[in-house]
Amino acid sequence: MASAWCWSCLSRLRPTTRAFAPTPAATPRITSAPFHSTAVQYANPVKKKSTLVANKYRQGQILKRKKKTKTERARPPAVGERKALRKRIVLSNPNALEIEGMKDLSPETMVDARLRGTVVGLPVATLDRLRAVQAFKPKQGWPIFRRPGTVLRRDTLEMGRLFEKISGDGDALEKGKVVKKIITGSKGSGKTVHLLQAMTMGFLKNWIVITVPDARDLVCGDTAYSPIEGSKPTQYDQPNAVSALLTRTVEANREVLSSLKVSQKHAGLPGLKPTSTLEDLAKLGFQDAALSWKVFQALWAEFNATAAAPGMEKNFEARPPMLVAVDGLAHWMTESAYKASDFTPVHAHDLIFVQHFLSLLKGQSLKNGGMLLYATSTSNNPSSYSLEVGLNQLAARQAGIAPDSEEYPQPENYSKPDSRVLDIFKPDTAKDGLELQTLGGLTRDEARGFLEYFAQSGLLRESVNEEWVGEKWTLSGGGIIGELEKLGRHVRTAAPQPVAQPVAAAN
Amino acid sequence: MFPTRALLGRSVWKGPNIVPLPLPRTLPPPPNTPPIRTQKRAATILPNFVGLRFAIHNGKTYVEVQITEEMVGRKLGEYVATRKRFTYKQSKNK
Amino acid sequence: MVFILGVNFPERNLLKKSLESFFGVGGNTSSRLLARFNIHPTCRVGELANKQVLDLTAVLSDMKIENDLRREVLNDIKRLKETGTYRGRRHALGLPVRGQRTRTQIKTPVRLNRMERRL
Repeated sequence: MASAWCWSCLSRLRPTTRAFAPTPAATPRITSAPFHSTAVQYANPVKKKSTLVANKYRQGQILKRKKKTKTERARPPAVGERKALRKRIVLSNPNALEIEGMKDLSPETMVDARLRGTVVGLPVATLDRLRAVQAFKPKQGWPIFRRPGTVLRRDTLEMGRLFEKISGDGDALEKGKVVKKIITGSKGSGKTVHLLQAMTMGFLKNWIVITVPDARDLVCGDTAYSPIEGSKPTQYDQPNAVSALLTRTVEANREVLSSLKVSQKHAGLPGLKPTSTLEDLAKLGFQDAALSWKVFQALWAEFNATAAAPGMEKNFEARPPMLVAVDGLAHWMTESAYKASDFTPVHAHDLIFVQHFLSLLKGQSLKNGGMLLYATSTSNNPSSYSLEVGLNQLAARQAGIAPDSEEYPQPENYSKPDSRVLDIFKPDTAKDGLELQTLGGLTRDEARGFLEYFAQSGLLRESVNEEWVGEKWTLSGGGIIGELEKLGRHVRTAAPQPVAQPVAAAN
Repeated sequence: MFPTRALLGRSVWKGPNIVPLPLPRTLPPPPNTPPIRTQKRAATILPNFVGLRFAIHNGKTYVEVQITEEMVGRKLGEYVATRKRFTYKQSKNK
Repeated sequence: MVFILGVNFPERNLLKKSLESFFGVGGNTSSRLLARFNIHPTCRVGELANKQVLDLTAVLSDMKIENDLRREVLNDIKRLKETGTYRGRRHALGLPVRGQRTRTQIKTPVRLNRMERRL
């Protein structure tokens, strides 16, 4: 096509000299990149045509609607798929670096004070069992490392020593002791992971491990419930929840349970032979949910048996200690989502399964010794004023304040505390040995070890030095481990210093 | 939450709105008794009104209403409209 | 598929929502029904025991729901019309009954209130 311009005309156009060029002040230049049109549009906004006629009364306006165009949509995921994805637990990341010389948590390392502040791996043999008791939660940062590991902090080592004592490895006097602890702490302080460490230690020491991974599951109205006939006030049984717990327990403790034989006669359990193992007993419960509560009681009696019933001594073996771990205690301190038949809410303590675990806090509940760890949660936590008061009272007693002194925390006047909740924390429970353990932040040394673990896994491009650790330690509110993890996994692209060689672990 | 909307009416403690009306001495009234003229549109219809004839004010004139059993408990004014239906009339002088 | 009061419900459906599909059973009634038979609020239709299905059906059949309730409501409206009350007249004229304004926004009464009212 011929151009509309004639080339000779073009050549006659004289180039303007610089002096004639308009000054920048005269014509404001649009200082945007040539491929952006936004600034240009802003500079000369197109005036909208005012076609809208003033709206008069009683003059009907026709509603113009765009017809919806059908868009092709992908099929929604199958039932349960979304939830499975949400709850999926990934424990390994092949992109993360493998750490050489990383030790496993073992009966030796869990009491080794020299290892304090280092990250130890969870033994591979226990991983499946830990999964079975649902010890891992989805957002604990497991998928960023090569293999799951936890930091050995002061509380962990203390707990390790307790495990050793109760198992009778050290002092024979302490064998068979029952330790009852309520674990609190601020958000991200590692309460749930503390329970996980306890479970791992329980598995390593061949204890029986029973867990309630989320206390909310029992009270949020998601499992079936039925009133127990003849109980007054009415108590409720949760057959499906019990059988789920039995399944969990068997799966995780198969080795222990299959080695122990039944030591008593249990009425109302057909199919139970004198030679059957505890595994067989528990299996009765999850095959038939209606029997589950009975089976659970029988199993509990077996766990706590110190001697066999007459005539059944032949197969009796001493029962190992037990670990009972509950996460999210506050859910059990209010009314549940269940309703009684007259539509009044059912108190969580009226659910017999919940009541069973709460009653363990009183008296010598575990006959063969063991540990009760009941952790509060700070995520998805119902506010329970009575629990707050109770925990304050417990803390006060632990600090040496007498229950009859003025400083002893009492519920506020005109507040209506739940007497059933306060009963759990009554002063006379002191002799039962109920303790409050508050998890705080890591110390600087522990924090350093923890952050080095990130560096060694290839997550940090910065050198881990004292100054940097101090900064992060302060930023994380004094070593709150959840906050440290957030800071640690934050990959910096522009490192202030050249990439340092991973600092060798403190060990 | 409301138990039921029906309870949102008049308070129970007030009882029905009983208005003194010039009821006939003998019941049933003899034929040819004039209807009871009243402006008390808010008066509750009581069971002893059944069968009587009322001339109820509509704001301008008195409209006759025969009380039946189904009307008991309602108000006199409910049965007499105070408004005229709007109809368009062709005006002569444009 | 589970039959409750002659209606077939897929097993995957929430029981509470299924009960609410009956005319005259709302959120409150269905929660109370569930509580009465000690069924948890998130129960699916398929999880019901046979006895619970029978219980629910028995209670529902005693309640005034579905066509019985529709008939009652229609009869009430009809009575208002026949005795010549103001409310009855408004029903018949297709206008709002409870003193709302009529200048704008009366689509619902125009649609519903008519001589031969249907629910």
